[in-house]
Amino acid sequence: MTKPVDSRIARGSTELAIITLLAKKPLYGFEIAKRIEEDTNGALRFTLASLYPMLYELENRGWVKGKWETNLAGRDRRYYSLTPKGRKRLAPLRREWRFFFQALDRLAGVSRA
Amino acid sequence: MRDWDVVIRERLSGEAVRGWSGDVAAELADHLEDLYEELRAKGLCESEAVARVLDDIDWHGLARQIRKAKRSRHAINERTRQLWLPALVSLTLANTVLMVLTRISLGPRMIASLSTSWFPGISLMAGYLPWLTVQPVIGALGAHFSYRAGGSRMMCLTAGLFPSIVMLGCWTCVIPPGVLFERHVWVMNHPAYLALGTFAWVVPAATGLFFGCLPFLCIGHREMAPRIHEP
Repeated sequence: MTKPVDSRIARGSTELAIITLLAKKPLYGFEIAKRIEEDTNGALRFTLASLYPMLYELENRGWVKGKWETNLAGRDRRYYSLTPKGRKRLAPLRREWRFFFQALDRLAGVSRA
Repeated sequence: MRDWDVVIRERLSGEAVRGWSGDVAAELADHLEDLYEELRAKGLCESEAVARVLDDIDWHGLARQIRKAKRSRHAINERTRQLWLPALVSLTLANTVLMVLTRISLGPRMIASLSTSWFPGISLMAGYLPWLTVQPVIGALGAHFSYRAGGSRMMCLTAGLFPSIVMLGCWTCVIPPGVLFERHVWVMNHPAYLALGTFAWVVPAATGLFFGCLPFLCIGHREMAPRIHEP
């Protein structure tokens, strides 16, 4: 398990992390948090307070859409799925992050650290 | 399953969480329950698991962040989609149909042809009666659009009945001051006609609209838990 990234750094990556996951399949909040934690080997961890405000903001922007559904166990879950608008944002967002990493690398030599 | 919803409401008491729907509390409660179950599965006892679940949650910050995330457009958009747009659709339809029927029925040829029939007064009803018959369709459309946008029963009903609500507003708040302002002596001397007009233009149409809304009031809606309000 990797040491968690400082929350101030992780905060900016939340939207990319969320829409990347939702591009694969609809997920509910807890599942999103778990998947992010597992897929990043514990480097990115989202709590209740960091995840849901971002989900609501993305929903507000029209990038994701939440819908209550009952799962096989009979429990109501609010599943989030990526909207066409959100899907369109995925590639530009990835590019922005790549430029950011490259710029930061040139500046601070993060890849050599 | 623990009642996390109650825990959330307790923790957030005193917080300014205006604009939160019960859905938010329900969703957060779901998250806490999942976390609790996970900790229990890891072998923690009930009290430890509860303490860990509630540990590190900055309730004040959470309320502020969610309020901020939801405030900008969502609250307005949701209400607009669920209530105002469907209401505008039903109002526009009702008034357009009324306008068209009035233009047709008040044409001299139509009045002349109807006045010669067995009931002369029917000419005055020529626009009104067809207008009444289409009210259920208009009410159904308003309620349907509201339902499709996820509106509650009350929103579906309001959207469907909106033409009659506006008509009632006109007859009670616009026409009486107009009568006074124009010193319409005949109407001032016969206020019962004003009441009759209000009744004739509001109640039958509202009944028709209501019947149109009815199917959408009977089918399943996701009922919202009570909103969390500022104390």
